[in-house]
Amino acid sequence: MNHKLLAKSIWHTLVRSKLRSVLMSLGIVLGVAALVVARAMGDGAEQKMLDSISRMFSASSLMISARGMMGPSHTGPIATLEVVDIEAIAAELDEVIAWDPIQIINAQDVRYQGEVRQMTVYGYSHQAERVWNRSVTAGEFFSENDVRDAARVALIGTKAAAALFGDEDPVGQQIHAGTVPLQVIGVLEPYGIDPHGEDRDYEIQVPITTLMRRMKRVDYILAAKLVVDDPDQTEEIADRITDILRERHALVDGERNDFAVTTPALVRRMVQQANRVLQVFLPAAAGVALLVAAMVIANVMLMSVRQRIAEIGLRKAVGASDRQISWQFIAEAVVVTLISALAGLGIGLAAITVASRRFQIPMSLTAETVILALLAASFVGILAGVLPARRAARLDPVAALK
Amino acid sequence: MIRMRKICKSFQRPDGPRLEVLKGIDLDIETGELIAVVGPSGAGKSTLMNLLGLLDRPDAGSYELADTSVAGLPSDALAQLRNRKIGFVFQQFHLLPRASAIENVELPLTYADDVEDPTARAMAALRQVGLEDRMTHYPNELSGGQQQRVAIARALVTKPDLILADEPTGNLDRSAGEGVMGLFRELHEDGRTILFNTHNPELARLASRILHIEDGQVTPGDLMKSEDGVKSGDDRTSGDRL
Ligand SMILES: Nc1ncnc2c1ncn2[C@@H]1O[C@H](COP(=O)(O)OP(=O)(O)OP(=O)(O)O)[C@@H](O)[C@H]1O
Ligand SMILES: [Mg+2]
Repeated sequence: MNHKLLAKSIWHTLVRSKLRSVLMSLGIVLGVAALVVARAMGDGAEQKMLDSISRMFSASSLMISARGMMGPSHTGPIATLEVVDIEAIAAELDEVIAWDPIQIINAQDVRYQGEVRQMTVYGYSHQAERVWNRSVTAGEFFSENDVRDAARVALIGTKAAAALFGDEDPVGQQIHAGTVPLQVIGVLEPYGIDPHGEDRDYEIQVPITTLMRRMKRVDYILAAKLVVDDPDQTEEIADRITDILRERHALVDGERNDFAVTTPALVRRMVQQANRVLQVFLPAAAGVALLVAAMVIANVMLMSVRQRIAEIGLRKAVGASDRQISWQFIAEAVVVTLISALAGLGIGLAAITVASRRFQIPMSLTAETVILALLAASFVGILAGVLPARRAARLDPVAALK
Repeated sequence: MIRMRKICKSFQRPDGPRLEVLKGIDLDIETGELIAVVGPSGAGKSTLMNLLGLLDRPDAGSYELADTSVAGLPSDALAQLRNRKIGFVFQQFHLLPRASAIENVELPLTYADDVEDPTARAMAALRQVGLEDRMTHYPNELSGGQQQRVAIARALVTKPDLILADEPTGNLDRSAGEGVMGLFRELHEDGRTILFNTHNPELARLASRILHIEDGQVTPGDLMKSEDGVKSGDDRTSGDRL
């Protein structure tokens, strides 16, 4: 068997029956382009979400929340997590290099002279600047003293400042959150929308002690973020935190945790879960399109077998075995689908480039996607080629040459 | 070279009993013979050709081709024997319309092992039939006679032991047909074994031996008998054909 000659003849068949080849390739080109774009959209959306999360939740972060805040079940916060719990964890685990507690008041009236706006008030410690990686662009951050003394000071987001102060410089001005007077000491670095969908520029931040003692009047916190020294250890550290907290909260065996520890791995899983539609269903739809394309190819090839009965008979007469005939037709299908897949990749790539450059839609084309597209196309080719190939191989040469 | 004993072949007809076409044929062919097979239309000339060419299997009987007994061989092995030992020439030429002359001649080499330079072999075969200057022509750019010569080059390219031609001149005008026969005579003089079917007594006379098929039997033919065959044949009616 001379494979070079057969390859040449397959190539000539495809090139010299252009209309048929184009007909065969259309579905694959579109299907692969759709698959590539769908995958790129999914990957891009996931990447964007991961980027936005990693800004607030780096690989060496851990989040301890009163259960319900971050975890899958939103049953509302439980009033058992306290700053002393976090202090105890930080004291026991050397790996914890920084931590910051959080408490929040939602929809608080904030007033400056005649202007009143409802916004979220976040209570953080002086460590927040480092732990949350967000600083001030004017004025200064809270000091350790501010936190210790529950000082009446506040940082303000850029949009909140614009709403309350207009063009006026907010730093040094006095505002009221509810009835509590606060002096604005800094303007927060712009942040944008966080993964929870909150606009983090339309908020004020106060020392957590101020928020807990003077404003919300609670002795528990919502959550705390910890930064550890080794990103590879986060799962183990999370387990140890769980042990410490269960003991401190005197939970007996079988009793549910009243807190949740969120690790970077868990966040990643949650993001992937959230992107399931984009990651799985869109490509699956493209996959269905490819199956339809396979049926089109199979039909075109069955027609071509009928047209080429004399050729098949002749090939058998000059020594082609049934298997060699069969291979020829499967190879024709696979060559068409692979070339179409490359064209589809090109079109998909162009669409991705336009979408991300011109319309700022986040998209990323991965090697996995390319490999997936090529594998899917070869699979479709083989699938589509099998039936026509069998039909061709079974032809009786005497009848075929009549 | 060829030894057939008691070869029988029948066909099932949809509306009736089996049609016995060959009823126990004995046939011996020596290397280097140029044999014309004649007989009335429907006598089984093509059927015999297909059996000799391993395109079809007999119902009964034994067949040895170049000392190989072919009865019961799997179809893969038959395909290989066809490739190595047999070259076919058909009445309708059966050239691939989208392949050039040289590509058509190369075709059998696709299924051959160890052919060093298929293009050179195909060129040599085309030269043998006098078409070396038509290599890149497509079938629709060639006359009928030229097309049949390309088909003969295709049959020669594997250097087969046996060339089988089923009415090779049936679709050709007189001079083209004479050209093809001239080619067969040359190949015969080179020592090739050739067997061809024909309805034309003049062509049959050019053979070294004539076989006459009638009533499912093969008999040594003389020209009178072959002319009987021609009278009931279809070709006779079209005057300008051979
Ligand atoms: N596949 C088949 N099924 C049924 N009958 C067949 C089949 N092939 C051939 N026959 C019959 O067998 C007989 C011999 O056919 P064959 O083609 O061998 O004749 P032939 O001698 O070549 O005739 P011609 O000179 O017209 O070509 C004919 O009666 C034909 O109808
Ligand atoms: Mg016939």
